[in-house]
Amino acid sequence: MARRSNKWIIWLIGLVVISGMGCEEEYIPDTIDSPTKLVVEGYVEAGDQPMPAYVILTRSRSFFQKLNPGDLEGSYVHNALVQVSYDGITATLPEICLNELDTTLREVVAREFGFDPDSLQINICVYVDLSGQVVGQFGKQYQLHVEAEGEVLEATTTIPELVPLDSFRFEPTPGTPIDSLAQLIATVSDPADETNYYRQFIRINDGIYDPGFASVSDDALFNGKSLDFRINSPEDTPDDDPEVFGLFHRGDTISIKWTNIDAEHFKFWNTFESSRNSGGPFSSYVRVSTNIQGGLGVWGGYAVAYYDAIVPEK
Amino acid sequence: MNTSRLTLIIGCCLILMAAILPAQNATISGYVKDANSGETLIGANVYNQADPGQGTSTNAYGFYSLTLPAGDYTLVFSYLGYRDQQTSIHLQANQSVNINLNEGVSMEEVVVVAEQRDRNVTSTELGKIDLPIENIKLLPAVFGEVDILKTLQLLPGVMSSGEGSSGFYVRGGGADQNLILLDEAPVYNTGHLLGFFSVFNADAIKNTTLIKGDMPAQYGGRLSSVVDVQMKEGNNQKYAVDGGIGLIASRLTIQGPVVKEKSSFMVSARRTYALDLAQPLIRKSNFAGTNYYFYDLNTKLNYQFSQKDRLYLSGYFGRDVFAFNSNQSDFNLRMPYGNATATLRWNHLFNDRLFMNTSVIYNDYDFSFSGGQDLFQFKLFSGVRDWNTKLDFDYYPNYRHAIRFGINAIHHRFVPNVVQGSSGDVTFGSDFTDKYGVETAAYIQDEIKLGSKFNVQLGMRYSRFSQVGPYTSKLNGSEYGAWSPVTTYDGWEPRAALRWQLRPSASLKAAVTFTNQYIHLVSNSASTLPTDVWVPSTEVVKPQQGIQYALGVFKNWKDNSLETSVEVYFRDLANQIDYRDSYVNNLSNDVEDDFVFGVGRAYGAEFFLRKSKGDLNGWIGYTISRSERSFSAIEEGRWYPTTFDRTHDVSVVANYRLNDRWSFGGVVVYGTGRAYTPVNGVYLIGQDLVTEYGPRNSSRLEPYHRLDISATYVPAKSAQKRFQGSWTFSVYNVYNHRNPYFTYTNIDTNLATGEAQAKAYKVSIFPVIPSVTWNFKWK
Repeated sequence: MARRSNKWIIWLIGLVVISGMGCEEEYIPDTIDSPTKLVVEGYVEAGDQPMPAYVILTRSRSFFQKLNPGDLEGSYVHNALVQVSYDGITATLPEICLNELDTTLREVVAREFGFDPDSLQINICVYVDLSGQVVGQFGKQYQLHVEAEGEVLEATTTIPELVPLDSFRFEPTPGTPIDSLAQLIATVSDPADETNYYRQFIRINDGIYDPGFASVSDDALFNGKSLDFRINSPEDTPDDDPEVFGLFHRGDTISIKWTNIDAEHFKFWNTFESSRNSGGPFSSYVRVSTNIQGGLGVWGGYAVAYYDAIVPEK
Repeated sequence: MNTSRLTLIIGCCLILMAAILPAQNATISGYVKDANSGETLIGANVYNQADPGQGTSTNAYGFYSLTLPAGDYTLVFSYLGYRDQQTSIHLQANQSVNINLNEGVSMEEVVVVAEQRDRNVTSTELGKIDLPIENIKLLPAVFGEVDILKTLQLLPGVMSSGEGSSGFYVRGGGADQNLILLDEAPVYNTGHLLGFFSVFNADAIKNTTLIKGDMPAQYGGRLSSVVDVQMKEGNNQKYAVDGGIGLIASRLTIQGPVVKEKSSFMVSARRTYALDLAQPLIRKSNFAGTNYYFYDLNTKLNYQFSQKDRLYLSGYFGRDVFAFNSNQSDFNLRMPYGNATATLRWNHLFNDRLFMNTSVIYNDYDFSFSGGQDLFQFKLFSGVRDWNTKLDFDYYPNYRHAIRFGINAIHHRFVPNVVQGSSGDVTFGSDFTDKYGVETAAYIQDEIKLGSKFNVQLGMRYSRFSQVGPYTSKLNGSEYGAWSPVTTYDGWEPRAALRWQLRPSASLKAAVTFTNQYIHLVSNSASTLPTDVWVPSTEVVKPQQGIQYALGVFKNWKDNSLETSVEVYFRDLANQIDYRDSYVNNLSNDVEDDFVFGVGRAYGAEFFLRKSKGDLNGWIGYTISRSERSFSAIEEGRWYPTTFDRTHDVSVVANYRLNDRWSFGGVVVYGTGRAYTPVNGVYLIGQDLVTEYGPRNSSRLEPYHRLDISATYVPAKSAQKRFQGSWTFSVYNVYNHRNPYFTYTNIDTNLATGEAQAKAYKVSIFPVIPSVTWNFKWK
């Protein structure tokens, strides 16, 4: 939304000034020998078709030149104790590795976690609430407790109340219209009395739910207003052809996963997405924030709503 | 009362009076000017030939006042680059003597940095350097654009913020800690093209003074340095036109008398034209309307009503405009920003010993960025606007004292980064309001000659800053009306400097300086950007404070043609400001909500060697220093070096005059690489690898070094012709050293195949750049 224009400024200034004069050279940076850390990536959802609560547990690695499949697979941490508590209930999440599942289930689960099952070469392991003990509810707080490899991690997150999209529609492309493409415009009515944070994902046809490169926003600029904003297709990044950036192909089936998140969860994605774009002369590095005590990563709650549509022919 | 007692009392009174009251003194005062153009000469020496200790120098307006016992004297008037003039004075009553000095004819007099030859030894000020413009013009410059701020960075103790940026750091202090004045008006953003060029058009400037060691009490509001830039007044005897055509920009300056000898004007303009020339092509393309240019316009008018009154009006207007349009996708963006300053000054002589200057100053910096596509329009703007009045007095009771006192008041208006947008009919934006502040100060200072060996400069400055309304408090919601104070800060700033003349050509100097700074520029990047916002001290932000202790030894050799000095300093900085870790600029928060506060310190030694006579002249400066900060909110207060900390910094500047036609210039710089935050490791989030960073600024880039050379060719001219052209060829970065401008990492992850590749890159921007400029003068 409006916040993304900040990234436009940075990209544009950077591209225009640097592309003309830049001279780039690869080099080996200084690295430090410091202990690795445990990394949590875990989510709990409430709303439409919520996914079961799950946690991916990995270990950080020192900076490298090239990783092979064995290295990446070795990052996953096994045999940990992963527990989610809420409302006095504590559930332990068992570990499931994709290679243990039969083919159909493996396909479904891989997609759920955002991987293309056919080209997936490494064995991904996840701690998942298969038995459905953790029930996602709006407004509730969820604690995470992890014990692994002699370390203990703690985190808390809240699933906020859902502020759904009012509506969405497809419009012709801006400027000179390109008939085969369309813009996606959505409307949200932001409540005035609270600070709201939003994140959206787009799935095109059979693909995965992809957040794109600038998926989160807070309501500071439009608190209490009903705002039309453009959702970009996650297929391109701004360095690609600017003429077709963010536009959808007519005839495609798209699904919007629209979510609300809490402040710490927003801060994580905000710094994460900013860090991918930083390092130029116009910003110093961005340290990605974390709400995991004792480690890195995020434990985040989502209030979810899905909206499906087919991009209409002209 | 009986008569004998009365006689005794009267007798005592007379004796007392004779002891206290000086013997019959009289004052000589007046102005020292350039004989050809009428420009006043700043810092010219006036002294008794028989006893040079009985002397003074001209102030910023060329005025001097010397009070001596009645008698006959031969007074010497001198200024480097000009022939000395001697005048016999029979001093009985106050008299006014105006002197016009002629430029030295012999080319041997032309030096790289013009400074009274032994002034570095005799003056009380530590760390003060004057740079008259003629000498800066002989040095090589990137794209042929002569730049006073770049030249300042060649002096010891002054570091640049990076390749091509015009921000600079003095003695370990931040870029916002330098008070940059153009005819007394503070200039908030000194860079064009994101800082690659400065806003100062060398043709319009008469003199630049850098004060970094001890700040006299008339200056305040910044912790590290004062860069006092004075515009030319304009030749008040005849018209002159000069200018030049260069690769990036062209310049034209016109000056002349309005009323001969009484009033003159100067207009100087500079503009880029590269993209303007390409407009006919651009108009036909999809990008019609795309353009980039910058311009500077300096104007000055002065009028001398009488010997006692003189009025000056100066103005500066500069702007960068960047516009980009892509019509096919209905996308447009525009980024205009710039400064405007205007100064009205009135010099008034009350009598031969009391000189007054009153100034009213307006200055304005604004930045705006707007863009949009189709339904969406977006605008971001920020700025600072000041109204400033000053009253300054120079009082010279006798040759042992030079007293300065005055007051000043500034009303600031700060426009924070305001975002406004619309999406179709719906508008959105931040609801920040402007912030206001009133900054006032009063000062008094005396430069005292104690005997023949000691000079002491004692000053006291009292400064005060109030954040004023209209404003609604963040802390308790109270409403404040216009001008009513929200928070007030104040402080006493003592300034003391001592010079001990060990020998005629050697001296020891020491200074202690307390300073307060009430407005701040906190930058999140390694270079200063037009999007950086100036903010006032408020209920959330306290003023910065600094104490500097400096000590220096100055020695001249070979009849003052070789100057050397060693200066050491230590600075204690309080209430320093930075952004918290994990800060991301979303434009939707008031920046001060993301500030964290801490302390800093800087210390170093500066070695300086300068040869100022002969066909070969120049200087070598070497600084070894450290600048570090500690914030309790950043890594629990660990002391880390600033990004502008450079352990070693070396500059070698040389000028060689081969003959009347050719002269050459060269610059070599070497500096320890910039500190940066290294990568600690990577971790997986989803399918991406995230970079984890180590402790702040704990690594260094490779050292920075480069060589620039220039050659100036002046074709033979006949004595009759009033027109003179010259060519300057320069090469920047002669051996093409790739100095890193910034570094970044790129990680390609393909989790599906289980492969990942991380690479780090360093980007440098200025390779070897040759350029040619043609300059001309018509008098």
